[in-house]
Amino acid sequence: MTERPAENLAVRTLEAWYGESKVLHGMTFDVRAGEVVTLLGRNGAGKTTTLKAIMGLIERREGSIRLDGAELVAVPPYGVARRGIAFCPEERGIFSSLSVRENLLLPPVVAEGGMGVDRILDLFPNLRERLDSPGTKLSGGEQQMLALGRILRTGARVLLLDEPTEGLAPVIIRQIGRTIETLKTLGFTILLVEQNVAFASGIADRHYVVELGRVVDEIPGPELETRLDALKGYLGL
Amino acid sequence: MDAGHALQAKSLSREFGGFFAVRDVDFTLHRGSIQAVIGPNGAGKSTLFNLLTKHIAPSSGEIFHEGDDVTGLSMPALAKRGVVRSFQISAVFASLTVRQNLELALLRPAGSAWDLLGRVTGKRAIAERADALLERFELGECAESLAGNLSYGRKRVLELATTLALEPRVLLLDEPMAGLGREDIGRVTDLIREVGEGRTILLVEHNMKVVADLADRITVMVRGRILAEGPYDEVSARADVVAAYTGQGHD
Amino acid sequence: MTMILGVPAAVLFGQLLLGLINGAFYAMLSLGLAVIFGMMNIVNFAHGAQYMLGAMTAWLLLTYLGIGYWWALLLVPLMVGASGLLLERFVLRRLYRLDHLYGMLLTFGLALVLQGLLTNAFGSSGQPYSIPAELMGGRNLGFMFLPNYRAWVIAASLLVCLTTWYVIERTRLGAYLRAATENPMLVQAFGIRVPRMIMLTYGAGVGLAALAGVLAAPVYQVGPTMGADLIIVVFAVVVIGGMGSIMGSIVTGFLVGLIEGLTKAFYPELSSTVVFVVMAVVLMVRPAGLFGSKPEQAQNHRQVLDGASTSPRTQTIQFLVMAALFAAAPLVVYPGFMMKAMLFALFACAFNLIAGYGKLVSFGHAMFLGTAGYVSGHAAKSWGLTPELAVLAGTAAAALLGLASGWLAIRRSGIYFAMVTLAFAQMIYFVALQAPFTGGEDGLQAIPRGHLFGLIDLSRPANLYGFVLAIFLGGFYLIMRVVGSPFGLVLRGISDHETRAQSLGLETERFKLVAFTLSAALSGLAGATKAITSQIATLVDVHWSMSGEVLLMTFLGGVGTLFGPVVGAFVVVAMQNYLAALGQWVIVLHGTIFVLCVLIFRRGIVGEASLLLRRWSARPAAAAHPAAALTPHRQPAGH
Repeated sequence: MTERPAENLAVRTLEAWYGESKVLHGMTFDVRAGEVVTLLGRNGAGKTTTLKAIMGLIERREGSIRLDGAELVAVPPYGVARRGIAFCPEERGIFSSLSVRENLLLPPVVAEGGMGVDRILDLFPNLRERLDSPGTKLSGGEQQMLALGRILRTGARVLLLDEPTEGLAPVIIRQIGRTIETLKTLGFTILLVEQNVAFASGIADRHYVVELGRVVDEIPGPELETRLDALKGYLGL
Repeated sequence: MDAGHALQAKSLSREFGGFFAVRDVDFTLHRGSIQAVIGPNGAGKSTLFNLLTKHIAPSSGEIFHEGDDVTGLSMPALAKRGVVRSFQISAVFASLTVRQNLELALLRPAGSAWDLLGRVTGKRAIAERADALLERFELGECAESLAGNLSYGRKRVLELATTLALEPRVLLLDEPMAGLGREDIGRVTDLIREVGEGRTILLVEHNMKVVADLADRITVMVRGRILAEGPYDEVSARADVVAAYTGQGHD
Repeated sequence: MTMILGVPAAVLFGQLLLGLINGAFYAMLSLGLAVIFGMMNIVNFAHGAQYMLGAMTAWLLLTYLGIGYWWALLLVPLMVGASGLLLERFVLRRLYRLDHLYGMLLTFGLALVLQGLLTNAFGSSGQPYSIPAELMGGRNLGFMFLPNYRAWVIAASLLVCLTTWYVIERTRLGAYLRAATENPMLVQAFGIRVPRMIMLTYGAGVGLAALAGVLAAPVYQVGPTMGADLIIVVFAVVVIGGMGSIMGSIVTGFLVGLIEGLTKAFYPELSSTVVFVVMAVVLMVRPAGLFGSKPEQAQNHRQVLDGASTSPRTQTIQFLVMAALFAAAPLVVYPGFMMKAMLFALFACAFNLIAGYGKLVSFGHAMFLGTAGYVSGHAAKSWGLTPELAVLAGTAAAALLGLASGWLAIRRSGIYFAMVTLAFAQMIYFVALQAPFTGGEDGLQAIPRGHLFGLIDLSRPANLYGFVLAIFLGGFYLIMRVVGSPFGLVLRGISDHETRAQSLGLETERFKLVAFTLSAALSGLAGATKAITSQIATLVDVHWSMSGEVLLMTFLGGVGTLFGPVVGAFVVVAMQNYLAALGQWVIVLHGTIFVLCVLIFRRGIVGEASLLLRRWSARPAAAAHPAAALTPHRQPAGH
């Protein structure tokens, strides 16, 4: 058996700017292969920006992003995707001029081992009967499932998920949670941005707390419940 | 409608392609208070805010200002009534100097906006008011810089100053702290408290510390509806509010 | 003979067939424009020139290499499309971060270059291209005669349009395109090379235009100017249909062609203007267009170009220096040149008022210059008005036209504003061509200069020069005051951030309309004076190329600077006067200057010079206070 690399995704002193406003001030963290790691923190702390900076979707970024040792900080977004990182944006990014099927088939396959469409539809049965309706006619929950489902086809092993539970009803949130657990057992590496602490604590191996564009704390998964008071402080509650 | 209310919304809804960003919301902004709307991302705070300032039109429902139905008014018309908003992404006139930004805001109340031949610099009253604002907001040293070249924090301060130049009775601030550093947050918080004297202020803000510092009352929105409303301490202690933020417990 | 509503049936069907043919070309071209715009946010003004290039290349292949129609149909789109790939890769790609208008300006310049080069090489007259032998002849349908080639054109263009629609709406490649139109960044994040896809899309759009050109070669005369007028109609089609949907472009294209055909049958006088009338109606009823969904978004990431403005006192001194220079100029410079240059300078300054300070770039300002010229010429010649009254009448006419067209045009902004103004100007051009009092192709000749106030004889050169100088200085002074006035400040504020201005309680549309009307009136003042001075008013002054010239003068001199348009006007008029021997090369030169202005010289002569001056004088101060540096903060390119 080959030894697994110590870390799959390694982010070091990552800085990023929106126009002239600097949003990331040296993010440093690791996501090891097969782990589920969350970034917690209040709105505007820089969690979403971190994901976008990893994908190269930010105009200006500096620092280091390594995937299995290969530097990505100067790689354009399509290159990052082809190295096996997939991104599910907060606003879900369902294309309104594409049908559900077209949305699902849109991301090109970047590596072998992606899920088949049937398998994805088994995970999200709601989508099966809506395949030919326009993408934006779906409910919020179905849109989230589509956004998640379509990146599973590509063979990417590292998934960046931005607030997949945002604005969804509890029953849908539980379904998304079960899906992420399934993905974890399938060996996906997942970096999750969450505000929903309860959701995060049930799923993640580790949590990083982000404040003003930096990692200010690291909390092992099981300890999250016991350290809730400290966390509320971070979240500003 | 009750004239003791600065702004009031009655069963306000806004739909985007089948999705209700704001659904059937009744909301009251009490005259003379500082109120805040909070809630997780996607709760409909910004949409409510945009509806109240007529940045977007409601799908249904009504809006009242001091008892008058203003649902059909345009944003400029609402501004003329003294209801003025700021923007989430700093909205300054980038190719004008800081002083010109302020002068531009002062022109309409002074009745000079339609003066085609006069000189802005010749309007004494406007110049004095601009000077006063520059001093009050500590913008004096960059008065002649182009607003587009200011630092982000300075832009936010300038935007606040520009908004206040209109002497609004109702001030709506859309995430005034977004993108600011720690020091700027303290300064801007103080400024808002200061200008809140004798005015009605509504803010949408994510920074809970700022909300706790400033707001008399808070409104919590979740999924397009209002979950809770009341004084900060009372509301922030409610279990359902905490749950909405942390996702704990059940609906 | 059967009559339908008083028109012989054969005539009606014949015109409908012609309408369908025209509609086929409108559809193919507006389709390409829509696809290119969707992907690149560039209004490809060169589209007409690329269509012309297609037809010309087919003609060249036949004439010089003996390559016939069918091979041309295959080869020409590939050749012209390949030139499009290069153009995107090495030129257009630099523009994506800029305002959409720069793309339109640059491709306008390219269109001029192409048209000028080919005119130089082959003359401006059309060349016949014979119908391929297989498609000669025609058949009698009983109610009309249908030439085979025309049937083929309609069938082929329908096939091309529907294939394009199919590829975009029904294939995987099309899904990529549609998705990238909505959210290019996310599509990149899925691993698709969007920049390369954009390049190929542009190439395909250009190839489509070239294909239309080959199809058109046997129908119309093949010549360098065949694309220019067509593209303006296609812009109107785009405004009518909206650029939202592929099928919308196709349907609107054919529809407009049919409407034109019907009009030609029932009321021929209106046939060349009907498309613009339809556009005006659509703008009133449904500003986003028949199939348009999303209204254009305000762009707030414009560069900050101009620095601190000069003080009123400095301005007044500069103005007085200019006045003295121009008053003394006839001692050394030919007065005729000075007068012409001053009037164009006034025209450019008036244009700059709305384009530079209001950021509403009109592509149709010639309509004000030309209309005022006709009206004042007519007033002086037929009504016997004294020159000052004739000029006043012309100015008033331009102001009214400005009010009416502005009322419609300011419903759109940016590139749509440019297209709408261009289309209205074209409508005025056709009116001028047909109206009884304009003299058609000949124009108004021998307009009397008359006596100013009935006293001063303008046929005396010194008096005439004084008259023109006074008008120029008066107009310029007025513009200078307006720019520095509270109203001018509001206008600049609106162009920076319209929503913010509204939130301050300013009814921005009214300000824009007044500024536009004022700009039209002052353009009219220049045009009216020009007619009295030069004693003629012709179609040249209402033609779209005149609108292009004023754009050139303003951008070359420095848009948004007070003296830039004056400098630009003098340079351009000097070029025309002293390089007249170069003929069509002047157009190539104009086009090249456009391209250079957009690529490397966006501040224009005066803008760049004053920036250099400020940098030079601010250097010691900037070293002491780095934070006060004057250069706008620019981000390095991300990738």
